[in-house]
Amino acid sequence: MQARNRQKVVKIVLSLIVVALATATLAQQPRRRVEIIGISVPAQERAGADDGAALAIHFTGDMHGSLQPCG
Amino acid sequence: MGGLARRVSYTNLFKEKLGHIPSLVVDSGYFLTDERNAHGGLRPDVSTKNDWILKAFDQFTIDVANVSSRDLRHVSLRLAKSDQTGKSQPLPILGRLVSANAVADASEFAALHPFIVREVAADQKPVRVAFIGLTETDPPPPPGWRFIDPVEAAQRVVPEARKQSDIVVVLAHVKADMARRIAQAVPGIDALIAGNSTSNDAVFTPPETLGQTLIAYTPYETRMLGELRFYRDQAGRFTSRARFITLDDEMGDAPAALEMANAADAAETRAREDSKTSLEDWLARSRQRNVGGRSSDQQSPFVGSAACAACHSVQYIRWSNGPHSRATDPLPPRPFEFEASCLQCHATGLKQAGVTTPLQAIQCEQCHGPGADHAMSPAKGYGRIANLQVMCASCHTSATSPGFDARSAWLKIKH
Repeated sequence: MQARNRQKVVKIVLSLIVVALATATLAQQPRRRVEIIGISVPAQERAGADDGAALAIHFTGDMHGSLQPCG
Repeated sequence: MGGLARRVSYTNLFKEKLGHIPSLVVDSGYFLTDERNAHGGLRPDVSTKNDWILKAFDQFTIDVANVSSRDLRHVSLRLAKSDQTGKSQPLPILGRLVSANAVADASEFAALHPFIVREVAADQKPVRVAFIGLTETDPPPPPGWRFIDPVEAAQRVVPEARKQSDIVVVLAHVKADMARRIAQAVPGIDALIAGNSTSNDAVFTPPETLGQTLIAYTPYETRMLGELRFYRDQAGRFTSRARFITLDDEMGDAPAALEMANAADAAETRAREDSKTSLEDWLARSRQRNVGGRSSDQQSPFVGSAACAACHSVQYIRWSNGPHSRATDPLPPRPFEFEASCLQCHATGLKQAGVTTPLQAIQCEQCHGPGADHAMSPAKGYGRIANLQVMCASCHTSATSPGFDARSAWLKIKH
């Protein structure tokens, strides 16, 4: 009887540890590091949600002397 | 895909939706075009086009732009102290250009900043972001400039930028392998934004992390806009993530930016047409190489090589079979490259005041001087050349005639 109880306690403790570790991992990585906003996303939704960012840097390059769309 | 009007459309949308998040817009380089004329200079239409890009960077603000080796030829013209003389306000964008490895001869050019620190208020607390510029070293720099190895320059500049900022961002126009070398060799870089995608196949290259540095590759020819979002934890440290926004029709065009892009195109077309028309006008009013004697322009002190042939037939035959007699021929096939300065070396008589009908080709009188008086009353002493090397070097420069040697060249045209 005592042995069964001990097993139960061990299982509960292990489950709690797993849940705690998973929660901690998710808390550390709350966002995907890369997000592609493709052609299927309506224009008005492309800026995405307020995810707590402190700052955004928009970057472009390789314009090759043209202000027009390419391709 | 891409283009100024859609980029501005997105950044406007970002401000509208997430206006409380401060944002900066930067360019990783090769924003100008580097199309050259036959002698390696920029064509007039290309200069026009490039000036419009610089204007657009002021009107639709680019906060910091990295000068790549492809941009430097035009940028160096605008940074030349001679270009800024008499201008009350040089283009403001020139003060927001960065390069830590393009170094100018200080006597001729205003220097580029190795890095610029921008401060923004994020969550009511200021954040200082340092932007460092780096470029590949090919193509070689224009006269008066030199390139330092990008890794060496980064090792020198990053520690200084780190001291003055909370986030260090390198804008580099380099290939991916060089971006990785920089990230591995230089600690203290939070993000490295690398341009230089060279084909449609590389429209998008996924970002990667090396050590503490996030390397984000600029999508090809502006088809997507990159966005780095930075997050501050409770200890004040920053983490980041990258977003890439497709700039397709769905994004729409910001009207003012579209108007500017169209105006730039129109100006470029005008510049090309102006060059072509100037060349056609000049060809119509100049005298061809085989026409001798005083022209209807009685003021002209030039008579043309055909007039010289009356007494100097051997020399005339030699000249007419040589390259100088065909010096105007390269101009008509390149109508959009034409500008008046071409005629200094592709025609005769342009350096003389009062010449309204100059001669095509490099004729006898370009080197020997105006011959009308000599033709009227021939006398010894006319046309002696004091210094052959100086004479030839006025046109055969290292840019126009690489490897030119006046002595061996003279043997080919000796007369």
